[in-house]
Amino acid sequence: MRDQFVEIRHDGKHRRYKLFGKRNFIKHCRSHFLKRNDCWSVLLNDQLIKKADAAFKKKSNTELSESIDTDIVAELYREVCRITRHEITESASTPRYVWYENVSKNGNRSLEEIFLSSMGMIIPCKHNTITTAFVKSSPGETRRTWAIRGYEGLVRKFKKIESSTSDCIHYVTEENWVKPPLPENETTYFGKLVDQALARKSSRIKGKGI
Amino acid sequence: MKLYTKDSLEAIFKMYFNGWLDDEFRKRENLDSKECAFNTLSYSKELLRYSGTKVDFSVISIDDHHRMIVNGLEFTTGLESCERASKAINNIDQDRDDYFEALMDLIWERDRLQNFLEETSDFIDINKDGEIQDKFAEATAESLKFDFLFLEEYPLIAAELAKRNRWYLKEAVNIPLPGKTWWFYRHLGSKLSDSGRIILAQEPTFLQENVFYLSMVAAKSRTPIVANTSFHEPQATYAIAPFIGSLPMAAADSHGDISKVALIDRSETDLRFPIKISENSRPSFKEVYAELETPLCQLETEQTMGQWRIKGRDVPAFNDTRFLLSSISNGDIIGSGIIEEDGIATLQNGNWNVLQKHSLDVSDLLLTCILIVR
Repeated sequence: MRDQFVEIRHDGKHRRYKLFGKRNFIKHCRSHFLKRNDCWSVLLNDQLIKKADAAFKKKSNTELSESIDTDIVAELYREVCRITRHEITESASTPRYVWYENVSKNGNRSLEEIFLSSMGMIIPCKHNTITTAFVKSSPGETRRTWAIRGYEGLVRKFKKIESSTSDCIHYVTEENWVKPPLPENETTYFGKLVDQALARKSSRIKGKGI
Repeated sequence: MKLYTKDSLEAIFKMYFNGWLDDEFRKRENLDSKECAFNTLSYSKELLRYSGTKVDFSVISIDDHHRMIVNGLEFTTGLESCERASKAINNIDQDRDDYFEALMDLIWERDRLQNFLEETSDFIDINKDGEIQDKFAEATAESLKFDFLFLEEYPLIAAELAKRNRWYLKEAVNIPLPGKTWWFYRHLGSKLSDSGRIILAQEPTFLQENVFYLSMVAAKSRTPIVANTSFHEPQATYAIAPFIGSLPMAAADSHGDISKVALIDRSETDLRFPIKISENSRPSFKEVYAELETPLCQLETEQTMGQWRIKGRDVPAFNDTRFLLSSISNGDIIGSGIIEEDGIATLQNGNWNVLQKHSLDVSDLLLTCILIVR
């Protein structure tokens, strides 16, 4: 099985990313792509999941890495790459991604990028390799909630990074990070009602803790 | 750039509330009514907690509000958050960052459930519908199982997760109570190893944990307004200080002479040991304050010294009440002492290495005490 790549244009340049790599792909099959309670179970074809799952149950990660050329694992890889390629391209063209220089505890520096698609898929990249792709939600929740969970999850992660280190996160594009990826609401009767519910003046809670 | 704002929370709240109310909108956006109900109520509480925005549900009828709560409770059935957390904790075949990120997602899910439960609890208390109360109890039980798993079986992981949420307390307008939301507080009382990993040191008492909460509340309270005439002359205070140790190099100016005070009535604590502050108590910081009388210093015996006069509360209310001294900005406990009947708070133990940074300005200090009313 040959590694797949994706070329996207961002920062005014064409950049080429390797999609997962063999070891990463096998590892993330167990933690995301083939997991029953993962959103990937909705994105991938049922039959493909069942066949691949059967192959994974029989073998260890090492054995799978060696036999990744088998039809079913290769097919799964191609399908995961197709979906990930679509999502990262959409994220880069929106654009909604960040990059920052991560300094590890031993002082090593590395450039990390994280892409967030409108669907809510999070795609982290290190050393020009997409390491994984996942949705921070459960398959039972709707796509709108997937988008919100992805957005909120990343925002909280960035807040934690910014509050605990001097790492500077570069947001591309800032206005796409200030608000969650939601459709602009039309003003309907119900929309007005919702606005009314929020019209009360802000206040601190008095007398009773929350 | 400001992220996680009132505007972004309102946008999310509006989508779910609109989705719950409007069938057409819900269909168009492929939303689910139970999911909308749960998230409407959960984000309503989050808006109040984070930004102080109170949602007025009187815009819908009581029956609709009731139906929304029932829908939200139905959504909580089958969340199995404890089971999923247990699997995630044991899934150690991943990078450290990925591991904690997966757990953090579960923690925020727990936080959303907590918000939902708090938002609906008053309604459940009033409403005597047994079926609703059963569902509420089930959701509460699931949340407690989740908490037990982390707090009792994996306290180090719980502490590590709480440490990652420190930013939230600095920004929230209404700070969540520690007894209900351990994921903001569990790291307190822990220390870092040489490699930067968390080690649980001696268990902090509940009061010590709450000192952090109180100090965060104090930091967000208005500084007490003090009549200027009562200020002593700082230079004179130094002149009469009856000791020679490490006196501050410069005199404090009068603006830095006021520390904040959190008085917690004993009636608001329960009698178990360690002292537990009632979940509903919220001490007032505005009327009571402590004016520095003897500047912070270190005696030759290396004992730390300092005295405040408690103002704004009747002096007879104090009867050898102990107080904890903490830093408002980070919640660290840096000393303790006693308040006597004349309202003088005397520092008896203190960490001079930290205290000396406050010696010129005590406005970042908080005196927390359980008040015994005679």
